[in-house]
Amino acid sequence: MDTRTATGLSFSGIEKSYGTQTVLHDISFRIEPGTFLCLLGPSGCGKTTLLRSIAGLEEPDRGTITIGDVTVFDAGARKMVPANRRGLGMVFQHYALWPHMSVRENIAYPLRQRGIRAGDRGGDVERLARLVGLESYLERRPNQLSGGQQQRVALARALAGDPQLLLLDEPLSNLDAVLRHQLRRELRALHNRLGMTSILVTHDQEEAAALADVIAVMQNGVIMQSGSPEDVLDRPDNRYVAEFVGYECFLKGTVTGQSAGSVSVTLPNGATVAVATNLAVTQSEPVLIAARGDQLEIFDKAGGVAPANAVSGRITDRAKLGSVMEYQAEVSGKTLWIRDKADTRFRINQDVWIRIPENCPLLRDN
Amino acid sequence: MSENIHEGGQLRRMAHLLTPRKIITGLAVLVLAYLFVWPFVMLVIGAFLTTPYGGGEWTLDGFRTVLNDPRALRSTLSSFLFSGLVMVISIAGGLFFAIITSRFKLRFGWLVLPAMVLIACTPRLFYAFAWGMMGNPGSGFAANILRYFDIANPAWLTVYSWPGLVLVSSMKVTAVAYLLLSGPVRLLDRSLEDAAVMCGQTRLRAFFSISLPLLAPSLLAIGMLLFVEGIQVFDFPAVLGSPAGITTLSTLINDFINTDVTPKWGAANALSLVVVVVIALLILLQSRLLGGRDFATVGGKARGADTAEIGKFAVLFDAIIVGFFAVAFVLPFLQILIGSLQPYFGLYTKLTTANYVAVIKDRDTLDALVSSLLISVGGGFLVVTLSFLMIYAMQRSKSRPTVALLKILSWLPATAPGIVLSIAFVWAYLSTPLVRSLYGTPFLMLIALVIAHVPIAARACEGIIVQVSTSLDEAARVSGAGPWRAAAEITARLCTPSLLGAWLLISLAISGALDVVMMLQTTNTQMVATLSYSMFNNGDVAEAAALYVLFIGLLIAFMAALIGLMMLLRTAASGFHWSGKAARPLAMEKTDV
Repeated sequence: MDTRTATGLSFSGIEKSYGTQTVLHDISFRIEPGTFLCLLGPSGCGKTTLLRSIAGLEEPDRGTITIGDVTVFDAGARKMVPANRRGLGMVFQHYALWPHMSVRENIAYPLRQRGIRAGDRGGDVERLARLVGLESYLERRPNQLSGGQQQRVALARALAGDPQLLLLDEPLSNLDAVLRHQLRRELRALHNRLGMTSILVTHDQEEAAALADVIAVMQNGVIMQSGSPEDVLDRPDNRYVAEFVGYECFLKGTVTGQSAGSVSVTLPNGATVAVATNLAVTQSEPVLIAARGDQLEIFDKAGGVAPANAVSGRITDRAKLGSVMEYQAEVSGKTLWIRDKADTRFRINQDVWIRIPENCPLLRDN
Repeated sequence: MSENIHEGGQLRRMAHLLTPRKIITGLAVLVLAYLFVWPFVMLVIGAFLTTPYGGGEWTLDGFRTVLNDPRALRSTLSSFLFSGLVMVISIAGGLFFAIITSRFKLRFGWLVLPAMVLIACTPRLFYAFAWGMMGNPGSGFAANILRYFDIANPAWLTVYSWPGLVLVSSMKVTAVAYLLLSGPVRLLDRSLEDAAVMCGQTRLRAFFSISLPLLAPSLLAIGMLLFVEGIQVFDFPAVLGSPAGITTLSTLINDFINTDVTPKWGAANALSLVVVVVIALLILLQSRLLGGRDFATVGGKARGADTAEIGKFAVLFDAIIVGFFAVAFVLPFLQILIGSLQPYFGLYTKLTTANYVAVIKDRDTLDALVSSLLISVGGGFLVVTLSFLMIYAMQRSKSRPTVALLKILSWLPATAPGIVLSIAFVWAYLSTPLVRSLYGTPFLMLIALVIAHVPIAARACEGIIVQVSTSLDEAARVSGAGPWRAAAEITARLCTPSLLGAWLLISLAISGALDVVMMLQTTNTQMVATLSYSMFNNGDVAEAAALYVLFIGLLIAFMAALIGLMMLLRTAASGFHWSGKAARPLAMEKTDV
């Protein structure tokens, strides 16, 4: 199993509608062998439909899907390789374990389909069970297992067919936080160890960041941005992606100066800040500076000199969220939410400086 | 309320025991016991007496007669064969329709549910008549179509035969099986099948290896239910089997009393007792079989299943749907309608309303028509009301003996075929001084029909009441309403739309119940069911058809007007329309096999 050859995947021009509702708009993408891809997006964005189209459980209206060098779907040529001949493994959102079969029978099922004789299946089943830490539960029924254990059975079953490509449909979303973190680490470790290509659907940006080599953020049936977790999380392309990956503060401004890798932005209140970016912008173009609440820093105005890259603002509200204090501040007519460790340094209605770090992403404002 | 608080001694304690509430409860238990349990007690006693209606000597002659009668073994085998065949064919048919309608995009998929409801709701006796006419080797549609093409009617092409009996029964029961199966089939978690497909299985084989085993408990439960029904059924074997010499347990019990030269009450009772024991064992076996199985779906949430395009197969399935509807409902319905307009059955060239005029002019048929209408409508109302009260008390009561008693009572009549109930009722009523004087009046038929239909109505009410949360009731109690008031104004009020539906269906079932009143009829008190059955057997087929068509038409019109009026009154009074979910009227069609 460790000598598996991972396979790449590409799809182009994928479109799918249900009645008048288009759920996938002309989607094209390609991933290299061995990649862990996360399709990230809110519910209803089309990510599960895309995954099921790759699996062969949905038939797109247009486009082509190629797994390795085999075209499994081509709407133009009316070619559709059925799901059972695509040689994939899949973990379903609610696990879809067969309640009338024991754990052993569930895991052995794909082996049986591959024509492995009953006598030869035992070793494989035991090895898979060991892989997911369930070797002592083989004779149980799925409903005698906890959620985490069911998840592992589903994973073992998906791997049993020795798939070139593993599909995971929100596999961790039904688990509690501790178990989710643990299984997330195990999942990534398995992916690395078995050297396969994996595609995971999730709405949790943290999960995507922790697991993925490549994240594709989807909205309304379109891939809004794709790239490494660093690209997507630190350099979102647009406001939608920025909001989805956790940016809460957006300051409007116009470009007033450019130098190598840095852009000066002037806010409506006249303050100018500089941010590092590779974005090609033109003079006077409207832009947005995005920031996470914990990237911004607050300084007491009474302290005298303004810190570098800071703008003037006023605290309008505050709320204690566990160990951090969240301040609400008005800056240039916009409301920002800033998280600060220090407990009660700033009062409501206090005038403050708010420092914008240079590495805040710059977005086009359109 | 412990004893040592009351120091008043015996008298006080007596007074404490005999609160008005307890007296009412005690009386209710006595009345229910008389209505439900006494007939069974008398059935047992009657099996060991030489003469009917008390006064005889103790004897085992009844059992001896049954054992020495070669018909006993033959009819037992026939009953099991008939019931088994009908069950297998109907389950397969019902499952087929449930699957194609839930899985595929079909042009006529919408037709299946209404068609099955129509077929399931048609009174069995009416259905048996319609097919008895259609498959009549001389005069029916089938023979006439062949004659039109100058083909001699082959001897095997008659509905009065084993294949005819089984196929006609199966068509009716397929509709029932579909209605019972479509829920479980729709609720199958499709992702379980998807998972098998992802493991390399084809969709078809995934269905057979995953979904079918998951349906097994439902199939088993419904299969057992239909099998027990098949053992009990009387009308189909009586109308279609008897002329061909086919005797089942139900028709043999009837033959012992009504056909044999001297009525053999002892033998009829003895055989009835055996049948009741066998059915009770089957019901126990069913609960045992289902007891250990727990196929609760893991993870639970079923994916909203979508229907697939299947190209040329869609045409085939559409043809099967339309064909089934035509053969199982439209044609027999047309046959009985046209047959009722023929001067005599089989003459297709001249149609007349003379049969209808004769039915209305004849004192006997007119009496039967009126009393049957009143008994069907009033009886349906009584059954639904009684069952509602029983199930309501069962679900809300905290006293375990009460719950157990009500549960047993609501199931007890289901253990006996209608013909057996009929015998039990005769014994019970004739053994009771005051009630005896009511023999020969429609009143006893009404009581018998009510008791006989409590099990199906109770099952329907269970489904209906469950949908109203207990907390709604409790809120009324907390707001100051007494228990009866809360029941009437909250639960009953919210259940009304579903209960009206149940009323209509039960009334239809009562209208077709031939077996329950078989022994209670006299020459002066006839129901449409008994009268048309003897007319049909005596060759007055066209007139029997006219009588039954008129009866069903009037019954439906009457019920529709009644229900419409009640809806109107309620909407006007309350100013809002409660859109209660139609709560599983399906469960009640199960005995209408």
